[in-house]
This record gives sequence, structure tokens and C-alpha cells, in this order.
Amino acid sequence: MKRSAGVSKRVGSIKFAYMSPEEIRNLSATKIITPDTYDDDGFPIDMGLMDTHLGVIEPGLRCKTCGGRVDQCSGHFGRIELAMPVIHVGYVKEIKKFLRSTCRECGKLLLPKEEKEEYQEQMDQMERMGADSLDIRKLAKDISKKARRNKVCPHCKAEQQKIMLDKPTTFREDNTKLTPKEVRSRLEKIPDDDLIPLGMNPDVVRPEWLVLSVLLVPPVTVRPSITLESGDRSEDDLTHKLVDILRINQRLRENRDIGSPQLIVEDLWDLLQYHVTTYFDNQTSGIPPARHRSGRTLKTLIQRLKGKEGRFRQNLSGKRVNFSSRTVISPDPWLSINEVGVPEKAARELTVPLNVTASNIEYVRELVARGPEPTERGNYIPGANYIIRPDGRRIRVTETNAETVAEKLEPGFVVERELKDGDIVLFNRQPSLHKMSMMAHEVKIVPGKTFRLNLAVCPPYNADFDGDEMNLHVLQSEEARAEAKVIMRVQENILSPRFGGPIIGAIQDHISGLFFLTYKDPIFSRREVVSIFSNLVTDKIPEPAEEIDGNKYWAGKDIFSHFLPDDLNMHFRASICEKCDECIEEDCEHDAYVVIRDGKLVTGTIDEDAVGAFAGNIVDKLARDYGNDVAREFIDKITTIALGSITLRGFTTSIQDEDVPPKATKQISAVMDKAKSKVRKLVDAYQDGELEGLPGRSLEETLEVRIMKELGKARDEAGNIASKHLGLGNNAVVMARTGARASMLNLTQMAGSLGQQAVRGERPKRGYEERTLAHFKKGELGAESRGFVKSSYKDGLNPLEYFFHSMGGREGLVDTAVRTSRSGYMQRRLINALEDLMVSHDETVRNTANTIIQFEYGEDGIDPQRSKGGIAVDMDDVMTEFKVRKGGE
Amino acid sequence: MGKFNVMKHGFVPEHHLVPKEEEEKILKKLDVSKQDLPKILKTDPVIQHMEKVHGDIEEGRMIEVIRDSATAGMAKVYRLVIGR
Ligand SMILES: [Mg+2]
Ligand SMILES: [Zn+2]
Ligand SMILES: [Zn+2]
Ligand SMILES: [Zn+2]
Repeated sequence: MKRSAGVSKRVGSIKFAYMSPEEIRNLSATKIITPDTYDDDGFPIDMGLMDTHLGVIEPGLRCKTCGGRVDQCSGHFGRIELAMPVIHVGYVKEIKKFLRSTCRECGKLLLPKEEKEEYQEQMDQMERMGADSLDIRKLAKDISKKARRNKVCPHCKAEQQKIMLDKPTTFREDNTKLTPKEVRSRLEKIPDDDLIPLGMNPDVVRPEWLVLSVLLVPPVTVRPSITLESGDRSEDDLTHKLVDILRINQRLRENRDIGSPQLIVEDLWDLLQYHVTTYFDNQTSGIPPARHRSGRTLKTLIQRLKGKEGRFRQNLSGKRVNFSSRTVISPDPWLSINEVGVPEKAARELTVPLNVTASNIEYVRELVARGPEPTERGNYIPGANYIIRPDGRRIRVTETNAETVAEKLEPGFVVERELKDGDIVLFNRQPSLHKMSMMAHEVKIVPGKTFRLNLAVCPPYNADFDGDEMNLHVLQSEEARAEAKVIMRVQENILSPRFGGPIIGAIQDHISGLFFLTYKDPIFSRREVVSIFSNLVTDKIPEPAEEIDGNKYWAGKDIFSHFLPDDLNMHFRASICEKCDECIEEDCEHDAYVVIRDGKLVTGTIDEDAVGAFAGNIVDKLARDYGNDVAREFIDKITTIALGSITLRGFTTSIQDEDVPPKATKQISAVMDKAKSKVRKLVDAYQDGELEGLPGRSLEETLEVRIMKELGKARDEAGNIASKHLGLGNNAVVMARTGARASMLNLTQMAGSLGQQAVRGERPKRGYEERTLAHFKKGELGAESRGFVKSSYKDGLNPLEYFFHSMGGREGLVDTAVRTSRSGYMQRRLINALEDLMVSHDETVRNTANTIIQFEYGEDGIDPQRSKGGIAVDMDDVMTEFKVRKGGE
Repeated sequence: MGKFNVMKHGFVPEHHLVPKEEEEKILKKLDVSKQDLPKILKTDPVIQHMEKVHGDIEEGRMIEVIRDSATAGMAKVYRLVIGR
């Protein structure tokens, strides 16, 4: 194929239409008549499926149509003249529409002349106004529906019969089969003018073309044969299918010409129809898919395009890329959030191109001379895999040629260097739902076979370590590296544009660890402090808080304060705050009010609301006011300290954490019984007709509402009783209250009671006739019969409770499955619609055609990443800063 | 048809015809040329309705649309009237 250089033109419009037999004949380079492909010498047979008029796939041969060789000729179409016409599966719906809405005798549209003209005008108008093709299709459908209702032709008075479609391709009229030939001749009879109201433009298309009399044969380049190692040739699935078509076509023609019995001809005709149908779509419902000898179903035209592995999604929307790798991830708390651990094995394969210049040639020579897998005292050091000469030739660096190749290096060469510490790479976890799903990290070479990442970056990737895999891409140009470092680096994404707050920060044990470090300000001995700091070699231990009997002791809050900037001033409520009626702030007896004065944690406990990944006030303030460098260092250090603290203390949880004293169990049981009897009373009142309806609700609804309320109250009460015995001395409670993991509801459901199970927001009611299970009386409305679970997870559920609990659980499961797939598709469409909008230099939002979409980004010009929860200015913070500064003067 | 008033529909924001003498001031403030403005068709139902009040609105006139905005409270945007 020749490429003309330098001519580019804008596509004015694209028109989609059906191909006419004439067009197919003009397009085809040759007629195909024989099902044989190659002769005994292995050469393509003339007028066979591999005819060299259709292009060539073997080097050395020349195309008989254009004279080009393998890489010059992209192939030409051919054609098969069908002995008898067949229906095109892709168009059966259209054909049905035409057959049903036109007269079987005269072919005219089954509408009176005036009505037809009116619709013609309507169609014209829609076309002129540039209506959506969907709207045009809908109007055509409505017109066709209307026409179909006329049982007698308004033009020739012929009576119409009902036309049915036997899927996939057989038409019947009043139970007699219509052959494709008859269908075709009916479509031929439809006058041009009558096509317009049916949504077809007669200038371009005729309906009879929907019945095939010639079949277009794709070029050999579309269905190349492959030669196996044994020397046997293996043909493409499409070629197999075309061979089938040709065979049957030949037999059909012979039998028709010698005047075989009608039955035999019809059988062959049906077979031809089957083969042509499966040639287009081998998953047509109603017919068995065509199979290979081995039993594998053939991949024909539709299968090539459709679905996840189809041409669109596999090859056009996304492709495989070089310089990338994928493996399982595992945690490494000693890495910085900016880093990623890359296993040696991967680092040896991934390369960065180095341009050889006069100033770096010595270094590069040494690098290349090392060969492909160099080590230094058993440790990984980068080598070189390839050198690329200025003429584009690539030379593989091997153990044997490394030294000689290194000698040959000159400025202008490119060397592909293996990865080393500090290289910038992109790291990504699917599904890539927001920009933080792909961030730039600095490489740290590690042993093993997994990628490592700091736990604080799990939230933006939504990653855990139960087998998750992630992708890594090595940047190949200086420009890309610079851009990635400035805008994609992890530390630049601590604040999320999704909600204007931190998305990177402490999680789980980090939070528990800092809780134990700071809650009620414990003191630590020298040995303990050294242990806490042991993984933070760069930091000096702060001054001790007190000295007892000549031994120095350090306060937990001082240790935390050590990592705060000296001029930091903040105050906020911690996650463990009990929401007292009146907050006494600094004097809070629960140590739940955090005050930081001039970089010192004065009161309060550090938990999720201080440093957490979604709620961390301190992380937020540092990133905003002190910059991403400070915030990154803070996160790196306090997570390390947190782990030091939690390892020192030790941390575990078990089912015993949900133990409550027998007295409490009895109380809970009493609450439950009381609730049940209240429900019984409500039901009695309802049945006696004494229940008063709530405004706007029926009696049944009123009963349901009041029962739900009563039982909800009971569960809360049970939870409160249980909570009273679950204090901060309990590890499970520490996790729930600090926001490290789980919630108090989870705990009370274990210790107290599960409460009411719901299906579609209501008490379960369906199942058996007027009852939920066969164990109840008909019409039973009590708590037990409608899914109230008195037991706790710890007690265990009785069989009936277990069943109701499964109902609620199943609903949750189905909901999430449905929601994720649907919202995923919605998001995909939204992103496809918005992806090419950008903010231009004049701060307007424009699309690729440079037309204005918004005069100011988001209508307020605010960068949501720099906003505080979406709001431009954080007034509270401004006031605090103001007071501090004024007080300081 | 005809009885329905598009301007009263909850999803249709306020539209005003910009007086000719104010056009330049607004364009200067936005720092764009008239042709850069997003377009509205003269055949748009809103324009057709406005013509009942203002008389013929010729191509090249500017329309001010005042919309509720989740971020800015209220947002003023402008449209250029064009023919087909
Ligand atoms: Mg996982
Ligand atoms: Zn050719
Ligand atoms: Zn007729
Ligand atoms: Zn308090």
C-alpha cells in the first residue's frame, strides 16, 4: 500500500448504507468458485479462496491485482455468486418491517396516499432539521406499526396475511414458508417513494439488497493461513466457513440445474442459509453454532468484533504496551509513600533509554561493559540490555559481547539501562476510577517477586494484599519523567480533588498505634522510646519529659509533637469524642479534644480524625499550609512511629473482646422481651381495629412503621447496654472508636443483638401464603415471624433467625453486584464524554474544537484539590490563624 | 402544541436578551470574542418564546442565561444567537 505524504483533510461526513450486488461485483477482484484452496505443490488455486488476486500472505509472491508484495498489498475483496439468494441475518428485523408494512400484491406501503405523503413530509423535515438517527428510526417504526394494521391494501384492495418470523431467518406467511427468493421479489416490488416513510433513503439503498445474491469474500490478509511446524497448513476460521459455503453452493447449483426433486434442492438451500448465517454470526440464537472438527466453535465475523476479546475492546480501545510489568503487591511499611518496591527480576527486564553524550560516555561504557545481569558483592546493580545505534539497529547486550559492545559506543547511541533506585515510574491499580489510581513513584529495588508499597497509599488505589496485582510503567522520555514528577507523584496527590481532603494517610494499625502513644499521655522509659524510634534512624530522640529516681521518662504526646512543625496551631474534636451535650474542649475528661499549640500536642488523642486517610485534620493542614514535602515526611514518620508504638505494646483481638457480664446479658434479654411484647400489643390493637393511623398512611403501614420503630429502639438499647461494658480498655473498642477498623454497630451486633433484618427496606413478608415461613400461622405479624433477630452473632442464631438473616444478606450482595456494574458503566460513559475537555490559558474550559464549555472552571474557578471539602476558603482555619497571630503580638 | 411554555419548565433557566450597548462590556470582561461564545439557535424554543416579548431577535445578538450552580450559587453564561 502506498502512502501519500502530507495530505490531511477533515472528514466531512460518513454515510452508512447496505452494499448492492452491483457494488460487491465492482469491488471484487475475482469471482470465487472452487472450495479448494491450494494445489498439490502448495500454490493457491485460481478462483479458489486463496487466489492471489485477493492479495498475498507469503513472502516472494506478488499480488495478481496490484502487483504488490506481502508488505505492499493490503489485499482485495472477492465474491461468491450464490446459486440461490439467502437472507442476511443481520437484517432480518428490517426485512420483517418491510414485508409487514407493504402490500403482498402491489408492494405499496399499506397506508392511503394522503397519509403516506404526510409521513414522507415529516421524514423530510426531520432529515432537514438534522434529527437524531434514533428519532428517525423511531418514527419509521411507528409508521410501520400503523401500516401493519391495515388488513386490506388501500391501493389494490388485496387482502394481507400475517407474516411471522421463525428465528433466525425463516419467514412464514399464514404458515406457508416464504423462500428468500420470494422475499426478495416482494422487496423489489416496493416503490422508491414508499421507502422514505419507512426510514430508508432510496437514493442510496434498495430493500432487496438485504437478501444476498452475491457474497463478499474478504481478502486473504484478513484470514491468513498459518503453517504449523509439521509443515501442515492451518486455515483461518473464516476460510473454513467460506469453504463450507462454496461446497454447498456448488451442490445446490448442480442439483438445481439437473432438475433434482424440490425437496433435495430446498434442503441444500436451507443448508446454504445456515452456512451464510453462521459465517456472519456463529452465536445466532435458534441454530447450533458451527464447530471445528475438534469441537471448538468457529470464530466468525461477529465474534471477531464483539465483546471483551473483540477487535474494539481488545485492539482498538486498549493495547498491550512495552516497558510495563504486572505482579502481586505486598506491604512494606519502611518504604516512603513516594516509593515503590520493584523486584530484581522485573528491574532486569524494564529499561530506561540513555542518550550517549560526550559527558556521560564513560559512565555508560562502564554500564554496558557490566553485561545484562551485574551484581556487586551479591547486590543488584543496573546493567544494560540493548544498545541502539543511530541507524536504529538494536544490539542485545550479552555476557559475551558486553565488553566489545561497550567499546563501540559513541555519542548519538542510545543505551537501554536496567532500572535503578530513584527512577520515576507510573504505578496503577485497576479499576482506574480516579486520577489517584495511577501515580508516579520512585523505584526502590527489592528482593522477592512482588511490588511493594507503603500502607498509607492503599486508600487511593483501593488496594489490599489478599492477592491484588498492580501494573507498573517505566517512563521513556525526560519530558514524561518531569511531568510525572511534578503532577503525578504520590505526595502531590495527598489531597484528593474528589472531596477536597486527604486521601493518603494513616490506616488501621497506624491509628491504633498513635492512639496508644497519645491517649491520656502515657510515659515511656528510655528502652521503650528507643524501641519506638528504632525504625526511624534519621531522627534524634526528643528531650525527656521527666526524671524519676535518676531515670528519664518520655511522654507520648511529646513524641508525637516531635514530628509537628514548630508553628502549628490547631484544635478539633478527635474521633473518640463522646459528643457530650456541652463540650468543655481542652478540659475534656476523655482526652478527646485535640489542641496543638506552637507545634506541641497539648491535649487530645491522635486518631483517625487527626491523621486518618480520609479524615485526617493534621495531614490536611500540613499539605495545605506547609506543602506536600512536609506532609509526605510527616506521614512517612508518624506511620513508622505508630508501628513502633503498637509493636511495643502488642495488639490483638478475639471474640472475648465482645464478652459482657451475665448481668448485662440478662438486661439485654429483658429489653428484647419487652420489645416483643410491645409488638404483640401493637398487632393486637391492629387486629382489634384500635390502632390509630398515622397521617397519610394506611393502617397496615402505620403498624409496620411503629413495629420497626419499636424494634429499632430495642436494638439500640441492647447496643447501649453492651457498649457500657465495652470501654477503651478493650482492643476491639479501640479500633472501632478511633476509626481504625469496624464500628460500634459491628461490636454491639456481636455482643448484644442483631436486630431487625430488612428486605427492600421493609420487614420480610413474602415466601408462603400470607406468611414468611411454614412455621408460622397465616397472617402472623409478630416480631419473630417477620425477621427480627434477637440473638447476637456470639450467641448464634436459631434456624429461623438464620434464614431471615440470609435474606437480608443476599439482598446486600445482589445490590452491590448490580450497583457496581451499573455505576461503572455510567462512569465510563461520563468520562468518555468529558475526557477531552481542558482548562485553557484564559481559564475557560474548552473542548478539542476550541469551543467554550464553561467561562470559568466549575463556574467558580476553584480547584477542588485545593478546596477544603469543596469550599474555597476554610473560614474556621483563617480565624484560628488570625487569633494566634494577634495573640502573639 | 403551543400551550406549553418552555420558560416555565423547572429545568429551563432564566434567559435575558443582552442590550446591544452592553455587549462589548461583557465580552471585554470575559476576554473573548463574540464568535467564541457558545451558540444558541434562533430556532431554539426559548428564543422563539423571547421573540414574542422582544420582537425579532436577529442573529449575532447575545443571550444571558442565569443558572443555579452547585459551586458558585448562581452562574451567568452567555450565548450567541445563530441561524442554521
Ligand atoms: Mg483485594
Ligand atoms: Zn494487491
Ligand atoms: Zn396492493
Ligand atoms: Zn468531650
